[in-house]
Amino acid sequence: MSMENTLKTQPLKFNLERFDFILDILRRPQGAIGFTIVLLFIITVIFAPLIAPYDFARQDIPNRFQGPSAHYWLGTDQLGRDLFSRLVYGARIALSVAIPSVTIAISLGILFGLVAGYIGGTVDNLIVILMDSLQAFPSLILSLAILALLGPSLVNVVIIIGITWMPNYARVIRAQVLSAREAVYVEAERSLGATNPRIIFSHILPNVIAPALILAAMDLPWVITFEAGLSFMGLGVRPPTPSWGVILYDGFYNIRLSPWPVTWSGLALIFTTMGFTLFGETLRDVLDPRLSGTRGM
Amino acid sequence: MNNKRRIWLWMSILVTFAMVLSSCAAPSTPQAQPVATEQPTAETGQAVTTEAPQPVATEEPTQAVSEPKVLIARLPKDIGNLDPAFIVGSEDDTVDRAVMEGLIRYTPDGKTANQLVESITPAEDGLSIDFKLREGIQWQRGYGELTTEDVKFSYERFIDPNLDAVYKDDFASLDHVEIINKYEGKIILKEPQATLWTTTLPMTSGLIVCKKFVEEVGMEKFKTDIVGTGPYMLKEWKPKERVVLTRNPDYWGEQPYYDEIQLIPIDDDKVAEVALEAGEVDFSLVSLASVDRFQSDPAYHVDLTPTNNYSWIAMNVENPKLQDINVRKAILYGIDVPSILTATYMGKAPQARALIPPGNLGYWEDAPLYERDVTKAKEYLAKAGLTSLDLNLAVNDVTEFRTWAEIVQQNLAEVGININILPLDSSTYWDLGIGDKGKDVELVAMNFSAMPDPAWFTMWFTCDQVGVWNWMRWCNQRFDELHKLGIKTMDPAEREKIYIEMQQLWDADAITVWITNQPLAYVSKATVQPAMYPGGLCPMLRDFKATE
Repeated sequence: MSMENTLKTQPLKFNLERFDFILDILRRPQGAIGFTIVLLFIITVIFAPLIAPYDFARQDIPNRFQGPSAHYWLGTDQLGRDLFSRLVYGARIALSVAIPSVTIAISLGILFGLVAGYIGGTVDNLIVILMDSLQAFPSLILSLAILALLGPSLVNVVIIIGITWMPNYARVIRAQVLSAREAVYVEAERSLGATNPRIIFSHILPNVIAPALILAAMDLPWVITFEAGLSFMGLGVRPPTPSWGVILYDGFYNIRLSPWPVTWSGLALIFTTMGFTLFGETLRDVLDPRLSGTRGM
Repeated sequence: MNNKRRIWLWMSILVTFAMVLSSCAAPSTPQAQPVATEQPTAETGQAVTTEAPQPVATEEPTQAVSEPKVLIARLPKDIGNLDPAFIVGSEDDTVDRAVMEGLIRYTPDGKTANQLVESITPAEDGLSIDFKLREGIQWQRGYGELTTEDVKFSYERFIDPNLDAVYKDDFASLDHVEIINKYEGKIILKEPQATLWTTTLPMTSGLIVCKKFVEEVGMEKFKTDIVGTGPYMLKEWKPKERVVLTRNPDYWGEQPYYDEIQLIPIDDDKVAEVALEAGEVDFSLVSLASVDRFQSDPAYHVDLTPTNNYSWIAMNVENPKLQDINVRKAILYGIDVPSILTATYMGKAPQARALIPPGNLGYWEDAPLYERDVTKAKEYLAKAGLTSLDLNLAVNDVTEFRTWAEIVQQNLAEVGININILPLDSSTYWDLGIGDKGKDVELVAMNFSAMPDPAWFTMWFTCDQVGVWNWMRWCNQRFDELHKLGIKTMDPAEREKIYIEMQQLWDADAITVWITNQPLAYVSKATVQPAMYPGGLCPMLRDFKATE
């Protein structure tokens, strides 16, 4: 083993190349519950066309506001659409917003965090000011403002969530980089003549990324509920796309005629967010025991 | 802590406590009443908030003062333009008719009665109308006495080409108003006008505006600030928040029951229903879906009234995508209107078939009913050389029209027409078809209300209304000619023929999908006795009372 390799691997606290952490998660009850829910959610998302008995947009006006039955397992909404099929496809919308949004947030956050933490000085100050400015706005207000500018659509919702969540990641990564850049293995890389990009991306990034990934896992349920909230306010997806927020909104307006749309969409949100939260917290405990008992930032 | 400091501390606590108590106590002077001042309101540029003269405290001996009687009512949307020549919706009617008055008016029982006149008499040839004003009627806010100058100004401005009033057709036959003296005058007409007595003089266009005030504040401010001779004064308008009307202490007639009326703009029926149930409003229009619920609750009173409302999906014939009549017919046959009625109105609204609803002169009894026929719709689309088409459907973003839109979207998808729903907030929506930007409109869900005369239905769809209220941008010269003819024809049978022909012209061009003549459901607290204008057009606030 070369000197370089020794220095590179020495400070790595948690080895992401090992997948036995999954087993560690499953050994813990809350981890097993969270993992199962997340797995069911992902299966639902992938196999939605096979699981849903009807087209989510198919209307059956004479059978509107039906309760659960053999025909409509979870009942129907105000236009006679099958609630089960809409919830199944709604899961797709939730994930298709959550994953790209968090990916955008974490990618931009890592980039800004690495640059700010490693370069420091004026660049660091400017990035911190930018992140503070973004965080100074309540994310909902910022989202409303941007959506008013861009117009409501799925893509815009993804972009907005990505931008509003990004400062969290940037701050976490920056804090990690600030300590990592003084580490012995980084000093050793510098003395060996490694370039800054090589030091940042080959040596620092692998050592600081884990907290960001844990944060991402814990942010997913927040993003799902955030998207549902925007859709509830009519600022998310367009009809007839069955976002859970839209189902909740329509159900809210007709709650005196049928409680089922609110009940099922509410439960879907609760279980999904609970599953991701349990999974994320267990993942944090397994991968970084130092953070056990803390939430997010 | 030494004694001196302790004493200061206790004294401070006592003083603070006394101040809190005094601020919570009832005022010892009687509640001040608004008074008119000699100085009219100064123009402040952009009219946003209108304040009536401030209450003046008197030095009269203290007496027990009863709580002011306040009515809180919902407006379905915020006011748009209070100038009677340019009103935008029934909300403007509601406010205007509480503040201003006409020579004659409709009473709560639907009859006409003299209001500002002692007498009003049409000539036998129908070409002039003599009137005599009541003497001593004062304008609010100290603008002096009502005279024939005001009547002349109010009516002649409608035919002023420089003003280009939206409602100029209401006075289409007016030549001029002749002033005989301060109180007597003569309305001179170029030709008889049938609508004058049904929908012009007793309705909003017939309201008399204060010449001195309008000339002083200018047209822009007059949109949102008015004075009148009526029982209520416009005290305050906070955009999208509330309109406050307060009792006119110098009102010449019988004082209204309520001291103050607060009008809260709430766009969505369902939100308004929650406000009603939470006790935040006393009176509101509600959705038909909620009628049964309120009817079963003794805490509320429900008025379900057939109206002259008419709702439709408009197709912009100037838009390249909709210029081919075959495309429009594909849409006409592609939409399942009964499903819209079931889903949106719980089956409580009848299906409309033409412009003028039943119960009105000019109702076209044999108007065709377009039942959904997907095969036929596809054939028409094929005739237009299309197999698929993408269209935008703009709707006012409320539950009612979103429900329409989702059904239309699903219906037309089966035909091969992909609908992109554009839910728009109220102000954006009502600006959509105005001016040249209206050329970009494709499909739009619309809902108008009309006065009880057929001319009121047709007046919005003439060629000169393109880019104003004619969002189909449909222009038919024959339709325009008939509209003018219908207004000056006094024989009801002849008028009926004219209006039926107009609807046939309309139908032949397939520019609309008629949805419904929606009845309106007004709900008030059981303690409130509301009053409505004929046809349920808008609440008659001046005649609201408490139930006995």
